[in-house]
Amino acid sequence: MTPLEALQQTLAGEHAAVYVYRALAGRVSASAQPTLAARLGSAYTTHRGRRDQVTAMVRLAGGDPVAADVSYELPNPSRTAAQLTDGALVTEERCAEVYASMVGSTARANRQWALDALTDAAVRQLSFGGRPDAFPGLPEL
Amino acid sequence: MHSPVPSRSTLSRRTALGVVTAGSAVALAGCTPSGIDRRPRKKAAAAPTPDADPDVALAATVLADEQAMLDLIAATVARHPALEARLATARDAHQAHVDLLTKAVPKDARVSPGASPSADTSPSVSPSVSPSPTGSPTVPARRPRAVAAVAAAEDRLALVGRRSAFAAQSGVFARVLAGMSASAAQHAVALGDTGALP
Repeated sequence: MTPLEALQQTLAGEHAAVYVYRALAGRVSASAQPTLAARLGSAYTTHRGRRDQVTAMVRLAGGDPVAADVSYELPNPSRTAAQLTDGALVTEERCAEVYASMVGSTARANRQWALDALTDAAVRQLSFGGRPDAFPGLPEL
Repeated sequence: MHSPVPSRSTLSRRTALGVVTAGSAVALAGCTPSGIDRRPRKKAAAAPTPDADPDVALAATVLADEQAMLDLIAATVARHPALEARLATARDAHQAHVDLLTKAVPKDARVSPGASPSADTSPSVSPSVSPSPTGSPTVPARRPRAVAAVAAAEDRLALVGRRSAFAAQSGVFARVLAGMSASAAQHAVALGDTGALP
């Protein structure tokens, strides 16, 4: 994978994450689940910011940023608090894989960005019920 | 409608480390990435081979740090047996890291954390993990402090791991190191105050 391809793959992942978190955050009851609502909101803001950053990184690399799809499949029905939490966990796990892949296909500032994003995604998984793993973002290990 | 993220990588563990083992017959001296490993060049007399792989030296450093982390956890459990279950996940993760790196680092390139006269400029986690001259890590007498010490060491290991991943020449190896450092970051938070979760 070329560095630009890695950036585009990450951007595609951020488009998906923004879509999913917007949907999840819209379904949580802020009064009944204030902590979950805050965590989903924080994740949404984080990924929206990353989407904008990676869009700029793609342009800087001379690429034409990939557009978001019209819609994305949610990881589950996303009705109960447990489903919303698990949907967020799955999203962070998928993002972690994309960030780890980006680490391997980029260098310097872009690799550092991917390293920081991977760490954040790995830690964020814990707040959505994830357990510490030996190799976050590396499904084959 | 389609799945948000591309399909899983199919890299095997063997593939992941092939890049590192390929250059295994190299001397450590002179091929450490500058600014990353400032340890004294013990084998300065040995000329680096043309195919010297700087990632072997990097892997040796990370292996020493991971082993030091494992030693700290073992010492902590030895002093506080009640903590064994709580530290088991972290212990298993670092054991997996050590196993993986051990296969990647040739014996003559190993770095001993206890024997290393690391200067304070070294980013290695080992001096702070095992400050005792005997080589065995000091463990706080009170249990909460002992857990906090492990969490703090995990945090340092995560930071050092990110630096190593940043410096790795091989992208494949950088990705593996990135995963290891993310693991340490998870353990730092999991063992720390859970109220600190985002």
